[in-house]
Amino acid sequence: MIEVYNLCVKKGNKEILKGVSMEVDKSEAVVLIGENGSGKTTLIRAISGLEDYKGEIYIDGFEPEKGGSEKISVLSQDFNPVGYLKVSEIMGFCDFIDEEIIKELGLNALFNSRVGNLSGGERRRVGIGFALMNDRPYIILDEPTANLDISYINRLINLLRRKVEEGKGLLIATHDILFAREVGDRFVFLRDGKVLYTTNEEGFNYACTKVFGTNMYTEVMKRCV
Amino acid sequence: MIIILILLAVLLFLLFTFYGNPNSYIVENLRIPRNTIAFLCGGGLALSGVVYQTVLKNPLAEPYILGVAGFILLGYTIGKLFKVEEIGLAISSVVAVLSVLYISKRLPPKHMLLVGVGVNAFSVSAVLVLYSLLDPYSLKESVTKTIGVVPYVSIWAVFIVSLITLLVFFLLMLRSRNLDLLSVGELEAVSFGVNPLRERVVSLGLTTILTAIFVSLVGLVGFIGLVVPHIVRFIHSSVHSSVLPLSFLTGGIIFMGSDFLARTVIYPAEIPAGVFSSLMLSPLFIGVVWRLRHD
Ligand SMILES: Nc1ncnc2c1ncn2[C@@H]1O[C@H](COP(=O)(O)OP(=O)(O)OP(=O)(O)O)[C@@H](O)[C@H]1O
Ligand SMILES: [Mg+2]
Repeated sequence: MIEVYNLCVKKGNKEILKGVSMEVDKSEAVVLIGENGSGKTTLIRAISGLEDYKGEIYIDGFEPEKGGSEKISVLSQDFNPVGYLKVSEIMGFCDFIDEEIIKELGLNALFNSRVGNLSGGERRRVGIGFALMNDRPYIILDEPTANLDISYINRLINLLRRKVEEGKGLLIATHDILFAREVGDRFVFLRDGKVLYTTNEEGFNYACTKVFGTNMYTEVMKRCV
Repeated sequence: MIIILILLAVLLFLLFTFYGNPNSYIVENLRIPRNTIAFLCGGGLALSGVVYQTVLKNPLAEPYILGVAGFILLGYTIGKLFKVEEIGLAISSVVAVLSVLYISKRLPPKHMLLVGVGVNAFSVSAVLVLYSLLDPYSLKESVTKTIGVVPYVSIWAVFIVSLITLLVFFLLMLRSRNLDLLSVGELEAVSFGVNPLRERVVSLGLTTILTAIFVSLVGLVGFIGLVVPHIVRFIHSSVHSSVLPLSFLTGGIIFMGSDFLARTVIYPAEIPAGVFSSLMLSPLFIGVVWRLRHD
């Protein structure tokens, strides 16, 4: 279990996380939802052990710097390897290769390209593949759908649900509420560095309306028009 | 690939050592040490390039172009003024590494290169002034220091320099997987148990030891550190367990070759070896920049 209690993170003079508490269990997908700048990425970096923090973070009982961060596989928001690396080389650094994931993410066609020459969405898919092909109990993805086209978003949802069934604990940061609703079991709504709501699908629409001022169904309608 | 390069290196080493008809004194006391230093210097520069480019996530980074080598030469020269070269070297190396780490977090890669241009220009000019203060007729010596000349040194010095260089090489080899992961991304590397900051400090620190040694012995040599790693990545792969040894060998061969040309082309006079390595590699440098234009 990833446990976060009363987490506070300061950068410069600015308090970015102001007492966040949340949990991610195995076999569940928790989605972190919040506006731009609400602190999602900061929370993920803290769990990975890259931010100084006050409060408590435990990953299966270990603090991030004391072995905890080695229990998670992460996709960063700005996944951007040095340009001369080839996709095949990056995949070679993974713990294992899963043909199914490679196929679903359409990585075969990219294998011989250098990352520097990929389009935004292609690079994103490489990053997702990298995060999904490591042997860790937890997977954390920061904005996985950024730059992805709708067909890959759908395949991503299937891949992630499969990971949940395999017993992985997922933490996914996004502001795409349609994707969130489809992939998540539980939802943590952040605003201004604080947890506003923690809910399952029942409270989802209500929380969306409170946080973004628009609910999921009007979002769907907008996209359908 | 590695085996071919090792064979080539040995072959050229023997060729350059026994070229002409030297007596055994020349071979043992002059040519073997000099060829070895040239080889290690080229190899060391290439290693530094590999590490700088990965750790700073900047494909054009290396100690020379970032001004690190120039700054260290300045430190060395100031030390020389007060007859404490080692202290000058040590202080300037530490300051240089720390500034690179500090600045790289706060400046985009391209700006870092421009800062390097500035530091270099300042350092080289200051070195020329300081040398003239030291000895008004030393202009030739100081100019060659800023281009790179392989000196004749004692077999003992060769032994120690080889030992340190190989040690650094092996320590870097042990970190090759960490360097691989760091080139994917900081956050990604963390989940493999890599501590990004520690990794940066350690690997930059290790290569800067080499930079300090070769700046004090040979002077400023450009382009090898920048170009050689890219040649290797282009021809072979970007995975560090091969980039490190292949760059080391290639850099060594290139600089040993440059030094050979340096002392034979206008024999019995000499041209600084750095002239030839720059002559060969600067066109390739432009090629590398062109290739990386989209990154
Ligand atoms: N080094 C820093 N110094 C000061 N403020 C910072 C620093 N880094 C981030 N911030 C601020 O912290 C806040 C939270 O940033 P964070 O990246 O965690 O947001 P986010 O929820 O991931 O946003 P997004 O949806 O845009 O990815 C932002 O307001 C940002 O401006
Ligand atoms: Mg973010």
